[in-house]
Amino acid sequence: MTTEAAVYRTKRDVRFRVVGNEAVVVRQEDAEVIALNEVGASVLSLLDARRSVREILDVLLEQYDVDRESLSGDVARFLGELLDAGVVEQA
Amino acid sequence: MSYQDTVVGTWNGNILFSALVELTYRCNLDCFFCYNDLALRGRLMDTSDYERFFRDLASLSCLHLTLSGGEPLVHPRFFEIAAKGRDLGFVLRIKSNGHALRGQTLRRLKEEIDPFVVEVSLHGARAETHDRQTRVQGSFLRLLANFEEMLRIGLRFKINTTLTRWNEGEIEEMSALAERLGAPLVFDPDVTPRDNGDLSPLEIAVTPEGRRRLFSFGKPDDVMRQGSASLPAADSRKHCGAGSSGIAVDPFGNVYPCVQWRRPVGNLHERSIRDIWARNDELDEVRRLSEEVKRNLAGGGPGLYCPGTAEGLTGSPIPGLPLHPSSTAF
Repeated sequence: MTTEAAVYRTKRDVRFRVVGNEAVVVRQEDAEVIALNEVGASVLSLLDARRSVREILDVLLEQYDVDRESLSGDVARFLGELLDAGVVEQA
Repeated sequence: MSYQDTVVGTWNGNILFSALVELTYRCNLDCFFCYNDLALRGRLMDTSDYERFFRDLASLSCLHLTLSGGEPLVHPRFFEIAAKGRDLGFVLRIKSNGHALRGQTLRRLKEEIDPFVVEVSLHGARAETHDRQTRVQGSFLRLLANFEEMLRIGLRFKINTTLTRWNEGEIEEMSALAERLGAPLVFDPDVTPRDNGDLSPLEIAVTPEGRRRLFSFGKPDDVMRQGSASLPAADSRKHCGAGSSGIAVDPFGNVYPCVQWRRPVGNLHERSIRDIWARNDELDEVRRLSEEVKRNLAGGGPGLYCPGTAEGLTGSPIPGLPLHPSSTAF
């Protein structure tokens, strides 16, 4: 369960770049490549092991015209997917 | 969007996505067909030059960084330079002959650098063949021992083999060796001239019969050219990513469209890669030529056609001119 106080970081074997308006993510251990859309790329770029989910939401709310409640739900679901995919872990 | 789509996007959009860096031309082996121009001179890139270059690459969205040579591990600052690549988040590949991948060097590579993969050169399935090409007695047995050590510590590696007339009879044996090691094996069917135009490496180019054996034995994915680090992009209007999404850099900071296409497009001592990439008539010409090659091959043509190698052999990257026999259709 993701809380807004939680802090995440990419796992040690993960490499990624924002290319155009998407992110290319490489999980080195499994030689797996994942492509993320623009919003996913924004979230991933903000997972720096320092910002909490709440702070990330604050940044995203300045970038996208969306209400906080729906954004919070979307980000929580997305972080859950990244956790399941082995891309991120709690710091 | 798939990764293939991303690669096509980098080719079409001229997004610098991969860089191959030749750190040094020094080597602990002496391969007969080495393509490096050992007489090339200039001001060597130092650690701070590489740090600046890598930062610029990262800011341009470049994801893939390959450290090559010569033998990159004999560069006296290899670990410092590779660590900068790791810290800047590149997917790091090391192209090595494997001779030094043992003991403390191997452990440091795994623990300090943790590359995505180390690409190791195999020159034959038997000592007499491998050592004949490397011209270092004992290099085959040492490499086999090093492979075992790589397996023990969990270093990800793959095996690259340039097919020659000396090793073309050992395709099946090399494949069996790779299978036993659990490592992917990729054949490059083309020996290329040296970067200074010297054609002597072609003396051991694979025979037409050897090429037929390779392509009857291997899956298409097992066969690719040395410079083709990215996936083939069937939907691109370009033939390859040379100069469009990829570059190669020699130890003196000279920038080329690709490790095979040695047409200088700038020097990192004089201009940053950001500047070279943004404004460059030579790169624009390479990109245009890549489209022309693609159009010329649209009706069918030599598989694995490399415009860089073609230019080195004939003076033109455009298909249609007579190539060396090893580069013709199979």
